[in-house]
Amino acid sequence: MKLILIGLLFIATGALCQSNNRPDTTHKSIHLHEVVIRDKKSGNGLANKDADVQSSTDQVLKEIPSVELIYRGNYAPEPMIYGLSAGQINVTIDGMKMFGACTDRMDPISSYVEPNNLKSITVNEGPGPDAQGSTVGGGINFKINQPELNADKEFSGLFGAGYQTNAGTTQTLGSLQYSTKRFALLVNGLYRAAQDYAAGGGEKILYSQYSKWNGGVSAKYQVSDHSYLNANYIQDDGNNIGFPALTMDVRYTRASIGSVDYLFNDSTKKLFYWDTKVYGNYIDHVMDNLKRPLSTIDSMPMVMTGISKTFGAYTEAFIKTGDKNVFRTRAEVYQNTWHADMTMYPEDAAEMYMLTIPDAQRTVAGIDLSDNISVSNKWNVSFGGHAEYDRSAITTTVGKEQLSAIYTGAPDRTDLLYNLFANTSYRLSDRWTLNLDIARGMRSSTLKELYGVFLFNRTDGYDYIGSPALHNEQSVNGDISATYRSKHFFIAAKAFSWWFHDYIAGEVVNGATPVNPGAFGVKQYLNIPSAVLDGCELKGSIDIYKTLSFSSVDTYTYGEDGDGHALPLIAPFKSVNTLQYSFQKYFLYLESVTEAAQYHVSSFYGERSSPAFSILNFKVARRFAIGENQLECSVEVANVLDTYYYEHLDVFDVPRPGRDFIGHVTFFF
Amino acid sequence: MKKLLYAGVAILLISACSKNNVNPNGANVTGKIKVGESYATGSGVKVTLYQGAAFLTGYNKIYLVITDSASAAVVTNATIAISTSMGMGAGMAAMTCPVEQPVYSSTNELYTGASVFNMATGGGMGQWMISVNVTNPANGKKGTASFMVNVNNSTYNLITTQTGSDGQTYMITLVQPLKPQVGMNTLELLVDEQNMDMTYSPVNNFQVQFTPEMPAMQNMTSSNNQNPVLSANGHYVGKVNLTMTGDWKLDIDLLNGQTTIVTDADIEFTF
Repeated sequence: MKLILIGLLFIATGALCQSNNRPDTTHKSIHLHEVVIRDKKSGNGLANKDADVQSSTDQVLKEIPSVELIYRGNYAPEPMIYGLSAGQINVTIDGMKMFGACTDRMDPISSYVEPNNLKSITVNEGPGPDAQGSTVGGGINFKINQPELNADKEFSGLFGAGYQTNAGTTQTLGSLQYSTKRFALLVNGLYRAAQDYAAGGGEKILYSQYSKWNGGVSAKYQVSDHSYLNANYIQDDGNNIGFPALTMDVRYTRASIGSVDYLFNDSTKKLFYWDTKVYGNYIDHVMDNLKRPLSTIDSMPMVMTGISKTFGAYTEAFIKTGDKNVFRTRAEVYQNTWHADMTMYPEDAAEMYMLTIPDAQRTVAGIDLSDNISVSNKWNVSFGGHAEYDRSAITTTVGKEQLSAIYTGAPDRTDLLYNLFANTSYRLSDRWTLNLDIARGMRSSTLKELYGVFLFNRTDGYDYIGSPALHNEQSVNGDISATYRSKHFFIAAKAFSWWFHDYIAGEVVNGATPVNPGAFGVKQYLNIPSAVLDGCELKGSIDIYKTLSFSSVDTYTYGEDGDGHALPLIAPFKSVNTLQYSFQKYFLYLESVTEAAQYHVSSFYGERSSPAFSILNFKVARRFAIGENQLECSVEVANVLDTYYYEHLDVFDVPRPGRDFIGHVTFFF
Repeated sequence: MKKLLYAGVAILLISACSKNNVNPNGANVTGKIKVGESYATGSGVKVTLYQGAAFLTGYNKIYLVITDSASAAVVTNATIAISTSMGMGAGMAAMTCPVEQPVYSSTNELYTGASVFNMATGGGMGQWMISVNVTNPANGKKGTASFMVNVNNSTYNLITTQTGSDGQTYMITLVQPLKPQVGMNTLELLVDEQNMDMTYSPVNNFQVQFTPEMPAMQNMTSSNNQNPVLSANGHYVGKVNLTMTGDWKLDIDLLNGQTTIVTDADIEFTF
């Protein structure tokens, strides 16, 4: 099929790999979703949506049914998997561990990469071979785009520009690849800036502006026939980022992400893939409320900074131990150091300073083993485990002094954690496949859950303090799914459950006084004996006519703790239905997003119910050939009916943007 | 450098300040500042007075080295009584302040006591006089050495004086933390009452309750504080949780059994 347009998406369960990519042999499970960022060569995929270089990372993440996003404004939404977020999931960049520096969750790791940097995004739901460490919820990994050796053209690339009417968003981006037989270099850059957006109906959402630039460099050198040296560096700088759902805005944030890895890859060998990487990243994050009229946020001028540093290394190998057996092993070490502080400037009084993350540090050494057996061409079994040793500590005297304000015991601790997982899939016929997963998960408490000092949570209006004696959150989870696939029809149904033990949540500390002006009280993280999370997911598509298809993604999740409280941050029933039309060089889609009201909420977690809504989106795109080059143009109308709405996960019920005309032009050469 | 330091200190000091900074035999005065030396005439000993830091209004440790006038040997078991006074001008009674009698320690061969200066010197006021009455154990003879000292105003209100519900005048002094840290600090308060003769005596039979507050934060308080309980000689020891730097106020109540004697006495400091 001819190339039609950019903006295509694969939801692949075992995508084909190019020779240099990591083999997906051991994770053909329905667990692993991969969204591939479209490039010049991409063909028309299973679904045609927004996984292109001009999209934002959250738009791409939205294409994965299990991923939901928590919005705090128009920037850096935080991804979660089936209602599990923050420390419950691992978010990594090309296998590198990286931890946000902001104590208010303003900087999920996903905010430091752009589709322009990426090859794909993979999601492993629950503990599994691609969950990137000990976890209960799973892992999201952003794969960095690598330059291609020996490409058709010595120089190739793209440049593009975009404009969005609602917030006056402008975007400029480019990418250039230099390729020779043994050496290749890829350089990319992006600048994006937005003013305040308007919600449906026209209400301006103040403090929703932002600007950022992002640049990446990747180099690949072929050392020998089957070995390669790769180096990657990404710099991401955000400035003047408003967070209308919070009481503070980001003055600036700076992330530097670098890695070097050595890759051996020879499909004829028993040890056919071996990758060893050394990496480091650094985030400097500063937020303040100096632009806010203080009367509106019931506060005083304050500045909060956060610095998060991580460095580490891993080595990962795939070994064929027979015709039907592939063994995978991975060993990793990393260390994250996190410092966060707050300075308040009262009128006519001395400035007030405290550490909010009192120089906390975590050092981790872990190992993964997993095995994949193709029992027959119909039956596949994989299983494995992950074990790790964590050491958590406060590294400075001032940090220990600060922590004494909330905890009098010894703060340092060590934990031994493990995950176990098994998957089996069975092809009943050419059209029917059954899949079963079961896993045992365990996660370390985050440094914030252990050592956080009076961190204000806008969702429930409480100051949160850590609890260095927390137990590790544990889970057993399982899912079962059935898939039917014919030439013009596809449907997959999945049901899943998580049973938690020692679920971590904040509980009110009676009599404790908060530090943040306006806070209702103090909550401390503690373990809730049990909690459950159940849900189901239905995906389907049908070709109505040669050029016209319909697809639907429907998800429902229900969570409750052992005390009968509805779990927080659980999206209600959601249905995304898309009609898409591809004709010659044109591509169109009309999409409806419908979310039910969420009444299953608990004041224990500070949540309020949220109303139902439905919005419509429309996009038309066309690709033009200009000699050997291609020009891609698209016009999208988001929220066509200018509906005023917010999702259940949106912090502080800040409404989403109203109608927005989005134009993108990309030139590929 | 060290000379410069001494020179600087000397400006603050009184006329009795000696240029001779040689440590007396045996006594360890490292880190302490010499205020002066004086013979306790008639007793055959010399008294050298040291301070930990320049005197400020509030609780101040004072250190004494007693040496034999003839042999210069450290005298270890002298009987010492100190008193303080500040002349208030002609016709006015001199004022005094609470003192803690020096106790000898063999580790540093110093006699360590304390004085709670409740008024600064200068600005038309006189100086504080510290009188050291020594009985020489070798000959049983008594003598008094006197030192005129300067006291600067502390930046903070580390002393609070209130008339109690029983009509008595009480003085509460912050002993520590004088260099507060963020987080949990040992809180030590000294409670004195004023006697008929205007001297002070430690109060040992009260219960102390307190709340730390930040006035700039609508009197935000903190958790896990421990009310000070009596250790000895009017000193009450507990814990204060200072969650952040800034202006702090300790709101103190004194109780005698069920009876509230002093309420809302404030000690204020900033760090």
